Amino acid sequence: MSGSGHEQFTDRESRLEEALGTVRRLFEEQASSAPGEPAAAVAAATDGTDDLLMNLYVAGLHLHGSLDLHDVLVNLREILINLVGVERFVLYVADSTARNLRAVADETGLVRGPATAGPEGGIVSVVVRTGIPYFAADDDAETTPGGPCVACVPLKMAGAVLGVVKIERLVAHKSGFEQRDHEILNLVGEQSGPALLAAALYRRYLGTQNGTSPGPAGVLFGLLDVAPGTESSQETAP
Amino acid sequence: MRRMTFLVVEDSPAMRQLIGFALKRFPDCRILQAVDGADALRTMAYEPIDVLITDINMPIMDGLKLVKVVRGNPAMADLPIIIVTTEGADADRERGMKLGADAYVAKPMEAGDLVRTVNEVLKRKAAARPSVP
Repeated sequence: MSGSGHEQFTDRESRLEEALGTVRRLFEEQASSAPGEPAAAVAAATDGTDDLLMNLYVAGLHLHGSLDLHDVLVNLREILINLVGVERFVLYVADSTARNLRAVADETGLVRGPATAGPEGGIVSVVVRTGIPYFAADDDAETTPGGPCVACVPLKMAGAVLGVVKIERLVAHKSGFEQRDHEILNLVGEQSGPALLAAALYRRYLGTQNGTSPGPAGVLFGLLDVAPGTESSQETAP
Repeated sequence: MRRMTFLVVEDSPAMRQLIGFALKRFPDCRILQAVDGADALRTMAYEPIDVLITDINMPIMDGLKLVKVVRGNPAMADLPIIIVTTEGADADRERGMKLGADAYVAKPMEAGDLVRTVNEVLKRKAAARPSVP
């Protein structure tokens, strides 16, 4: 495990320990409360957990709810705006060298800018290179060559960084990121890459079909049918 | 007894679903959905609604126009209306309240906030209703 990966793991472990401590404390408080007395703290914690799970479920479902590239980008935008409270953002995809970034969407919709651009430098470049998300201290926007940045989340798949979401500004009534936002953005970082890749591959596959659309089931059937060397055939090989 | 019926007016499918989940905390309620103001009015033409929950920014007919049309109809003048919006936009929110909305919840919202707001509005409406002798 790389140093940065280890740090992330340790950080996550300590956050989980902290959460476990909170749950234990709440249960102790509940146990010591008088019979019938409403355990408001436990109810509030349960509410918070329910809320987080609802948000994560809805975000995951809508990110993977379509194979249409445009829909995936729209859903990603909806998640950032409505579930996190992002007012301005830019979604970049990176090339295989992670040296070039292309802006593909922002809060207004799809971006139709120049096909490719060099890395913005500063925070965005660091995030693309390291794959570690960035959150500005006290949510003060860091000024990067491409504009302000309060957070930058890498979109990852199989350890590779496919792009980043650079958050430039939160809605005015939101003072900063909460734990729930971190969890949703973590899901966005882990799930957007596969969703975008699947939609892009699907679009490309349809483009090779000379106008005849096999539909998602036809594509899956065709791809699985031609998959080389399945595990079962390897097992039966002498 | 008729089940409480909510109408959720929101163009974002993710938000419609999230609001729907939050409202399921009301036991045995019915949750109808519309994608914009015009769609909501079509639904309201044949479905009795107990609470209207609407976004502001929507295509075709926005939430502000919807509130105005609903309040202009004597049959629906007392319908509880709650605005759920990202518009930090105090101006838009204030316009909504002036047009006759009863309360607003800011996005990103917490389910508990929406439920509390609905309960408060329903209590307020019930208290304001003249008692039947």
